[in-house]
Amino acid sequence: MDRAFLRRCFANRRISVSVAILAAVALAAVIGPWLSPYSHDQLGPLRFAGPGAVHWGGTDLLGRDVMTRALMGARISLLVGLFGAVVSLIIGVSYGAISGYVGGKTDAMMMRLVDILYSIPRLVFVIVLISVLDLQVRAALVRLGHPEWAPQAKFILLFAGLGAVQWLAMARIVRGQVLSLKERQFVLAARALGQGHAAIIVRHILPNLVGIVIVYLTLTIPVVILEESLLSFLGLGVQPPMASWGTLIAQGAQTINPVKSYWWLLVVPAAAMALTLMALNFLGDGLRDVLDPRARR
Amino acid sequence: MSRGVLMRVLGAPILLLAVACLTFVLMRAAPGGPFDREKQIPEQILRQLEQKYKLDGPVYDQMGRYLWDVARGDLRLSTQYRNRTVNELIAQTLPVSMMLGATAFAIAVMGGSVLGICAAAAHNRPTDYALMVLALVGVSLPSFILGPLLMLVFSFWLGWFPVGGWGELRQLWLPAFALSLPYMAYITRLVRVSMLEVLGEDYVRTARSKGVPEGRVLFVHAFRNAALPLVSYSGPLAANILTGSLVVETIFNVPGMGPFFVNSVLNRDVFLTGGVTLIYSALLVAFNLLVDVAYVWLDRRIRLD
Repeated sequence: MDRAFLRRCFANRRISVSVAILAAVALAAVIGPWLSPYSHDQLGPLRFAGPGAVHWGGTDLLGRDVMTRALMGARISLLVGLFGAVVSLIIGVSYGAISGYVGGKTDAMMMRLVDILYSIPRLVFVIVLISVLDLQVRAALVRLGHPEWAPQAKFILLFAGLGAVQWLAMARIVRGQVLSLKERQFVLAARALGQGHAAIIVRHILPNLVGIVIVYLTLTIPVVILEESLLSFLGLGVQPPMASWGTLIAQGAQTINPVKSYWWLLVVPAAAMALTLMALNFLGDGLRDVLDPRARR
Repeated sequence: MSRGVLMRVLGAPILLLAVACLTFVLMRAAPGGPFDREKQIPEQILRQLEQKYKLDGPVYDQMGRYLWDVARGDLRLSTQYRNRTVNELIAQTLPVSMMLGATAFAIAVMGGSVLGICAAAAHNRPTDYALMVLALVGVSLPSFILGPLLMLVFSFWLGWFPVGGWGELRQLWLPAFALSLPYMAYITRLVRVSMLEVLGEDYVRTARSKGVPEGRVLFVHAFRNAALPLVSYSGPLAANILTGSLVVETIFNVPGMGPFFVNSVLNRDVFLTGGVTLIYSALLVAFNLLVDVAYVWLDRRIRLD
């Protein structure tokens, strides 16, 4: 990442605006709950208070501060998004690099598997996987001598499970790049000098993939955040008293009724989430324009 | 081409059996089962229950018998809904899900195409910019945010549509719209880009210069060729609408497969989970096959091998 590249990035208005928004959301998520006079699970005397000077985002059924809860939810959602995307990156890049580098029959088989996996409903399997493995991971954590981590078992499964189904696009793109890179002269030169395959992949091919990998990493984060929230919305993801944007939106959706609409319960977390997703999508698009000029339209 | 398609048609049942196998192993290998209750059930009754639902014996044996039943089209009894077969439950809920999904699919494809063509026709003018900003907002509004918001505005504040339920045409629009909007936004962007590419081609200039009306140039001459990316996106689109419908059906209280699936996973209803997963997979596999065939049919230059 040289300086000229950074300058080009920040000259792009889409990138600078979305980085600013994301930085603001991340900062609010990190220090917001700490600055807030309320805690996310502290019950208050005011139930269903509307947004105002005392509670900026209003309060919920139990008198908890909605804004603080949305910020705590941001922590969880961002964390799952980031870790899930990194897991998908590791799997996708290794799979794609090996497939493209080895080539031939192996490549054809590996890509056929990706095609097959594309044609089954992956999220449905994640749902089954996460709810089924929850107990096992809990037991395993206790056995390994970390019983204090046991309540977080779902969390670990969310990282792994969502990352494990999101690597297909990354694998395809990396494989395509590696196919063309491995025919380039510097790879031939490295091989002529006697470097092993692993060294060629790690030292000569992967560094050339950094740009495109960053673009797809940025585009994967919102997808993982979305899917985590979807699972939590259905009650299959993050469990109370922890809250992610998905659980908060689900609570908001449950409390709206024709007599009196407690709209802030829905709108506050929904706005936070939509803003973050939008900024991430903007950022991914902008980075793609800067790093991959061929994709520019 | 025919060989590739044939291979896939033959491969599909094997893939589906693998799916059934995987789901069953996942559901049975984990601790806990469909008969776990707060109170311990007496050993004898448990054994009888297991026998009734064919869940007795070693796991590999159970799986073998299950796969055999699946291959013959018997998805067995649901453990949660007493004495109802999974086939029955699916026959009841699948048409509802299909109706909702197909409507959402149609709205997404048609709305997205028209908006994308409009944006491309107004390239770099205010209409184009406005549509692109709207599309970016739309892409970032998943259906579980959009659904409750639409309900809040159109059902509770304006009272234009019923809150939920199923059976009348009026009850279809809000869930279908919530389900399709993010993808409509994505298709708008997709179609705009490919239209812009096609509009620069010679044959479009020829059509214009011989006096073909602009509307016909856009919608017939150009769009026919710009539609290829849309066809290849329709596979992932179907997958997204399928998972999206899990949520939308829950929000709007639509009696489709979604709520049954989520409940079955939570209650460890092995055969209902397995059956619904199988149906979802079968739908997607069939649809993807259809897309591939359509793609080849639309563009003879692409060969399927």
